[in-house]
Amino acid sequence: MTSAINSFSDVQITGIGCLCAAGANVPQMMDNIYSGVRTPVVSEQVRADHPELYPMFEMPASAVPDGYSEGPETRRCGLLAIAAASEAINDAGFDMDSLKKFRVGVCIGTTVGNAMNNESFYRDFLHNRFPPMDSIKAFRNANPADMVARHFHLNGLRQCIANACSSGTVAIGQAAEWINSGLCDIALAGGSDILCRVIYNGFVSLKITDSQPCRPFDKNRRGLNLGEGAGMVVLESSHTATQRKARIHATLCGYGNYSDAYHISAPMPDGVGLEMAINTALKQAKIGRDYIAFINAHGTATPENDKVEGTLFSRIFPKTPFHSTKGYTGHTLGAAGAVEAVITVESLKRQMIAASVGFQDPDPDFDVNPVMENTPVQGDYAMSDSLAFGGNNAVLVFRRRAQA
Amino acid sequence: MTFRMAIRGIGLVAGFGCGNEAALNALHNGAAPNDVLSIQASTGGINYPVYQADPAPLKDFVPSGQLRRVNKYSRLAALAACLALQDAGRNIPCQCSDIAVIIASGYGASSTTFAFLDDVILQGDSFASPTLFSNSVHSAATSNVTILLQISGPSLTVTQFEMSAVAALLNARIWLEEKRVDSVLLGGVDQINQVLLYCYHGFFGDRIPHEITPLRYDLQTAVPGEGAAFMLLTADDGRIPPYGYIDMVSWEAFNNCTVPEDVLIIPGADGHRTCGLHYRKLLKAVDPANIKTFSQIYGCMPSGQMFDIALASIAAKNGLIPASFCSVKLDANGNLGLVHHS
Repeated sequence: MTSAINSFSDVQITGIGCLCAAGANVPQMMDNIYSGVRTPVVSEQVRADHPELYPMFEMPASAVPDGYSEGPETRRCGLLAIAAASEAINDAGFDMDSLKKFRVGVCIGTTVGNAMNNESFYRDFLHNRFPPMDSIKAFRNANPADMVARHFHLNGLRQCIANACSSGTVAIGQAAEWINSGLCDIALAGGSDILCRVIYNGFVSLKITDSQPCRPFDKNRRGLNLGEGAGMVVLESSHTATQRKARIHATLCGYGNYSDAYHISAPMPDGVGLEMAINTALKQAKIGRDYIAFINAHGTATPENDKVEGTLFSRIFPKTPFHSTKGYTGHTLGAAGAVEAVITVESLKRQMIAASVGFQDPDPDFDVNPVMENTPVQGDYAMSDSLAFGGNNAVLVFRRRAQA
Repeated sequence: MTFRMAIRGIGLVAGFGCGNEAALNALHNGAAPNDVLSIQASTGGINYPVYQADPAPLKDFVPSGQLRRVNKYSRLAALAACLALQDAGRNIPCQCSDIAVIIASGYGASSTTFAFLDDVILQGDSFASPTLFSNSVHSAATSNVTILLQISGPSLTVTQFEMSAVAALLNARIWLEEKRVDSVLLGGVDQINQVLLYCYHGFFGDRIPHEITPLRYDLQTAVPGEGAAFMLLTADDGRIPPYGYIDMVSWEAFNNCTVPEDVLIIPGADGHRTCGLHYRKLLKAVDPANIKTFSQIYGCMPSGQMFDIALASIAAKNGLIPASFCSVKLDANGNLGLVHHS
């Protein structure tokens, strides 16, 4: 077992922003989630020639608000991150000028945003049609962390986290550690990802996509629905937040990160890596499991993922309410952990978690079930967990702002 | 930031070979591009010199059966990781959770992404390979290192082009300082492919360089390289490490930064003219005798700063350069990564 972690200090969340198929901003997303609205569609933009059509949680082209384009050499993934960051920054009470007075880091998780997977360029290359370098220039300029930093005129530390589907969670955890170690005063952290044919064909090839709206933790679940979007938070040290009298949404008080060391695309069946990540995050938060009021599960609706979480929760969280919100957002990959962090923070504030849409029939393989209706919760702490290809497990623990 | 990291082991695989003996030989005698790859451009066939790395010695550490579906990108990383662990006297596989794995890569598993696209484009969407897709993510190398070496500690994949190495080092320092782990297996890895060479040709034209001259800042002499450079890092626990210490890591804005004048400077200049001109400006006050480069040994790649630090640490251990040096890397966004070693 690893050494004791002795120096994770609380980090304050003072701004949140999100856009995904469930809504163009945080209030809209939460309204739709609490209303049970979900809108998976067969995409017109991302098409393939598989015998079956798989619905996705796609955002309309207009989802990126006007004014966020940097010109033709930009990509949508970074633009979504900018839009979510803009909401979070405004929510935190900053404008561009006031933000520049601080040392601001940018940490963004993504899978598509940093991948050179431009299919039309590669198709031309493969067929000796000698494509021009425009796509490559665009790729060089499309790193989401760089795009966010450029847009807000920030010249501090920035990085893209590429931990696959746990990237958004890890990005928030790492950014909190930057603040704790004094690398920056404030961090814009989160995740952003977009739909594309490479992702679609890849997940279909793995046979883990459902041709129906996804059913997390349901006995009859068949797989995930892909999604796209971005979630961003503004993180600050307690000192900075107090000094500028910032409104605090919640406190990030624990972050765990462990590896399964098991398989490139399947989670460790006994969930030991996830359990270690949970234990570390709880230890940092200085609480026991009983303090967790609810869990926002990874809950992709793939048979393997949900079995790991269901089995582990049965053992270590037998009475803790939990839900998966991927039935509303789809699996937004590198953005998922960040989108779910925003949902968790809002749910903690409201002391209410949304119904785990898509769940109907309990799975006899585990003893716990997600909530089927919007459910009041009582408590000060909540947890969000993410699992990734290759076996990375990441966990965040949030504490509700003390009530006056 | 006074927390310093001790370098307990180094592992390298690059065009010059693999292991620290090969690295030391390259430091003594230099190393040139070791292969030529052909690409088709609009002007006809082009032969491109490259520094190509061979991950075959990985089979000395990991049974071949476990490597069957592991791509070259991951094999390069795993080989360098094994060499670093072996150099530090650690067991392989590790069977532990007190080591973190942090990998920096600019290009990631793009070769595997292109292989995945080959099937889709040439045969159809239904022929997409799940194995290739699973291995096409940036984190494939990190995942495969944790799986092959049985390391269940924290893991992180960082991709920030030329700033990837300094970003990874900053995360490593934090994890060691807060005692999240006892050791960090930190590496940089990048892989050459045909698309990359086509892009070199597209951006830099028909004048193909055959050697990198990093300090001729105004010339475009970049030659693509590939490989992996790993270090096993711990906190400074009082035991003298074989490769010295990383005293300070910092991310600076190019316009606000000056480089130290009292130590050897290792600039990340790698034959790219655009960056070279920035290096020239940055280093104009530095005595040329106090500047040393290594890119001409391993080639040009985004994670090159990890090679600079590893090679310089080996050189310092063997008395070829002073123990005090500062690695400096620039990117196209006006950022500067500084790594101070003693």
